[in-house]
Amino acid sequence: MSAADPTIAPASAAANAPSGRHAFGRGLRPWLLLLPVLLFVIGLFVLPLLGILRLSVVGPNGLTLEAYADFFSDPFYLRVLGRTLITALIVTFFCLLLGYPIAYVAARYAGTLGTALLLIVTMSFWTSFLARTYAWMVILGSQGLVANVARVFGWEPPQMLFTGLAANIGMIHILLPFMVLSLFAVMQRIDPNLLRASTGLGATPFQTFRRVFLPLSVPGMINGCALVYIVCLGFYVTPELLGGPKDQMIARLIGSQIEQLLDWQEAATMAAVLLVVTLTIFAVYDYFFGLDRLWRS
Amino acid sequence: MTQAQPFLRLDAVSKRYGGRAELAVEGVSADIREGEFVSLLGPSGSGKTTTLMMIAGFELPSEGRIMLSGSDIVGIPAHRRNFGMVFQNYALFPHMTAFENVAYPLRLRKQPSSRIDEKVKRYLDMVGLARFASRRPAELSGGQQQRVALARALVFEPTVVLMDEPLGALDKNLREQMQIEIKELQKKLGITLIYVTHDQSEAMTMSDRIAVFNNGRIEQIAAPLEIYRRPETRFVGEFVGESNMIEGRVGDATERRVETEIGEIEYGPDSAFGAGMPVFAMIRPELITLAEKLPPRNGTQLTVTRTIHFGDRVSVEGTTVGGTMLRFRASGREAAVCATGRQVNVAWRSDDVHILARGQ
Ligand SMILES: Nc1ncnc2c1ncn2[C@@H]1O[C@H](COP(=O)(O)OP(=O)(O)OP(=O)(O)O)[C@@H](O)[C@H]1O
Ligand SMILES: [Mg+2]
Repeated sequence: MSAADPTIAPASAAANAPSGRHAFGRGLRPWLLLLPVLLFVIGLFVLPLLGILRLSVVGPNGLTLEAYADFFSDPFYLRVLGRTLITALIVTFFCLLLGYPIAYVAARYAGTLGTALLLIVTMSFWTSFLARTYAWMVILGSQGLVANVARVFGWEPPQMLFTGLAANIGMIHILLPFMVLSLFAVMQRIDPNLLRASTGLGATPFQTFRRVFLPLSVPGMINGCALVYIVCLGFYVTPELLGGPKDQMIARLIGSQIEQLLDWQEAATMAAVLLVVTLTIFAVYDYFFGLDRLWRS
Repeated sequence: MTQAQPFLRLDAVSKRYGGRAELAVEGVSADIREGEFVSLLGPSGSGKTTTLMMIAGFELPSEGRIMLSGSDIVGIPAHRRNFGMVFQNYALFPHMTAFENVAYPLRLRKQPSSRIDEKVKRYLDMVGLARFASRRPAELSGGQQQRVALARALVFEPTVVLMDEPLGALDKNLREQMQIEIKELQKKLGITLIYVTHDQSEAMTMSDRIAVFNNGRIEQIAAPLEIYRRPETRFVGEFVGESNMIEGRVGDATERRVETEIGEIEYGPDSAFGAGMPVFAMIRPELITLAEKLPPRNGTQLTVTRTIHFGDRVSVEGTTVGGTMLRFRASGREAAVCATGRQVNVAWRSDDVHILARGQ
């Protein structure tokens, strides 16, 4: 708190370092350079986060964990939280499944095909995800593309729009580019000589992929999964528009706490719970798979 | 030539990379014996790597055949050729330990794990890395990584071992040490080794034969001393070692004399050229010596234009009256005589003069 007092710091620094102002200046310079970034991060990320945490524990009568008790004793809330975590897992899984081959081709065949693939994937970044969500509504609606094609073959499709399936398809579609780019960034740096070396030592193309390429692309998989998973946890509009009432995710729940119930404390609590759950998942993951070991090469 | 069937034969192999007008490799032919150490030597871009890649199976020849013990292997994919390969940047798998890297080809061959264990240990020991088995490549020095790559290329007892500038990234001392180690391993294990380098002293000291590449062709393939003493083309003579190339025409073929700007030069008995043919008379600088008096033949007077001291010896450049430049060596003691601007007499032996053809 008293660090803001400008007279104290230089005096004590001079006392510690006999070379005086020079040493002090040199020690301080990196921090001065970092200052804008530091202010930015603290002002826009750390303080609001602390604000949310504070909001969740400060009630009308001072400090209280009442909101947390409410959350964990309400089976509906817990169900939404569980659904959110599982939905994000499913979406991440399918993004990886679909994104891996795309990134693989883009990275391995750097010529025209790879560039074209990458361009198409990144192009979807330029279209608003709201527009893409509405596009899915058109495609999956009861008079939409899929339903009409199915009817041509004499098959009446079940309800697709406003189901969990539609919500998941929409989210996978929107998040896929994140996965592809994360994978591509890592795959592109895999030395082609390693693959040649493997082949030369007697590995079939599949063995080379399994034993060399795949393990070396793991960091990209982790990056991509982490990114997609975290973004997916906070998805709001897409599941709301494409999914049904039963497919509500926690971001929607937080929204309604604020918009309809004006219960900021409960909303902050949910946000805090989501944050802690996410961090826990990654801590556990790190413990078992050792992220830093995978990056060393 | 006495052998009925060569072990590895390149038969008029050419390579044109897609969309390119010129050939990267043009009509390369060579017979390589089992257990032979052959270097591919040549300047950058001369097609050495391309040739090696075609032997390894990573590139398809546009024309020609590659035969192993009499059968064409062009159609056999790289992973079924059983050739060991060492790359310039080592190409060790970063996610595996030194042990696992060396075990890799054996695991692919589904050998029992006790045998894998024994063999990997033996080969790591052979390259002096037994203690480093559990380290990853990132935890090894450049020289150590190269040794792991060596062990990995040898452990599965490949039919042929291919190396593409394997020592290019190492410092001079380490490189010389590794040259000796590779040569000794090759002899001890009787490996057939094809070794790409652009370092002529490396090729000279290690090889049984050297194939000198230029512009995608083999200019000459022969034993190192043969290449050095009797180059067949001007390029070979100038690329391998230092040389004086003196333009001339064969005068009297039976007397073995060449008429040049610096007078008649006699040459050794092992060249067959007809009278009037345009040739170069090549004399290595170390075979030219200072002389008291100007000899009637096989010698000339020079004005020294430059001397470079190497401590134990001096490299001297001088020009004749007619403007021909000659380079020769002198001992440290003779340095004073060869000061810039001085006139000196030099001489050589006719047996040390090599004649090679000159295009018109
Ligand atoms: N993948 C490729 N595609 C097109 N051209 C290539 C390719 N690889 C090599 N070349 C061309 O083929 C020629 C021979 O190249 P190569 O790599 O065989 O030379 P090198 O003798 O190994 O040279 P260096 O000593 O520099 O390694 C060069 O002109 C090069 O530009
Ligand atoms: Mg090369």
